[in-house]
Amino acid sequence: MLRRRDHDEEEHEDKYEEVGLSKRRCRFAEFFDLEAAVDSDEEEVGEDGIHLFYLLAPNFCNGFLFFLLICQDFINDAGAEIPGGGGRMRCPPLLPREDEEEDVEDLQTRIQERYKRSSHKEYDEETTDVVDQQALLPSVKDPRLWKVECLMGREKEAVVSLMQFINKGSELQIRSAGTLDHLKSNIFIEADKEAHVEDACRGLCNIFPAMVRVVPIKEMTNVLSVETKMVDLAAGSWVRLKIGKYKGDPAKVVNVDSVKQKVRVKLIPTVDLQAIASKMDGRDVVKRKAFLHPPCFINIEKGFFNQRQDPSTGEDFYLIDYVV
Amino acid sequence: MGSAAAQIPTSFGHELRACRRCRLVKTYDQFRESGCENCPFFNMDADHERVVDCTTPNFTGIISVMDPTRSWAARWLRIGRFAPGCYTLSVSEELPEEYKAVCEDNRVQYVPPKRI
Repeated sequence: MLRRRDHDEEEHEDKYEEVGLSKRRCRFAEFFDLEAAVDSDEEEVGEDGIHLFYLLAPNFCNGFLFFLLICQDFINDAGAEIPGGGGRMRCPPLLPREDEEEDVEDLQTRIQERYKRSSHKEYDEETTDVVDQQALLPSVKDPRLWKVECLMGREKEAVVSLMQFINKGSELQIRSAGTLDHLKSNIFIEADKEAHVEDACRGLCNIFPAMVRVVPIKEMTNVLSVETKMVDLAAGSWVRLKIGKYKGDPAKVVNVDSVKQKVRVKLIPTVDLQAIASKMDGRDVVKRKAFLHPPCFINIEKGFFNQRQDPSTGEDFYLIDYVV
Repeated sequence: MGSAAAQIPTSFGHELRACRRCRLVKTYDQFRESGCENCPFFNMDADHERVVDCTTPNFTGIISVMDPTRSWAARWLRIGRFAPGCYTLSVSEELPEEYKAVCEDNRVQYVPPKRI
């Protein structure tokens, strides 16, 4: 902003002198858009020679926003041109003098606080790691993501074989290649140019480079943001079967093998007498239609269960009303 | 964490596992034999139990990063400083507490996965 001021200075001076405005006034105008309604503006010369220049802009986001500029050369320049503080006389302050003094002190403490805080921000290795994700958003300078069609079910293979190509010393210009579990028959390749993507796909029978589409910059982050669903399976938890003969049935987890990725469950066996009968008769077995069982077999809240205590052993047991 | 590439998974089935810290994807056997290239302090090659504790088969998506330093995707996923190799977009399990302590002792950062 300051640099711009230097370039445009001459031009603005001429324009504003014609209308009879002070030179300082015209410099204000450069820094603010016209829609920022200026309620009060004032310049204060501190004892240490630091010039504070602020204004209140109440129509900015959250109530009052203090705009601070600390600039020694800027004000020194202006002081040389305006004799005897005449500039202040031309813009009478809107706030009373007493308030002003307090405001300036308040302001100075605020500035000190702000600069104290910022001096702690040293960007070393640790802090750059936790830098806000927003700072990593893609820009036009970054390589683009290209969406490429590939053979269904071979996404992982395609991505890994691209990596193998690079390791074997081929000079492909692509930066990365990714696949998402929920997006079938598509992979993403990160490269600067479409030609690089096509080069990389050449010779891989799983990938169809004819269907290359660039991902818009705004959507690039969506591609790589996947939601991980925490599967917290432990012995005793309830699950519902998704495939097989007992599809839709609830089952109880007996044990979990995290290495083999297997879970042993127990469930209520359904004996389809009709199917057995037809099988014995040699007729076609009609497949049982998947039936979605309710989450609980018996609604406990409706008072079907009556807790009783065995008088002899003292053990708790339940009576199911409508069965008994 | 040099420029030497990490091992590339040799199969694509259920035996694939991802390191819970750096999200590197390899097979169980590869982890067992040569450990994790980015997290050598876990010493996975020394003890098979450690492979089970430090890696997980529950992860989503795979990304092969050929050039981590110049890749936007690697930067976004915060794997830009790791060795080139196959990584996953997100793991769904946290490191056990004792291995978090190992990370602290070795002054490496551990970012637990975001829970939903």
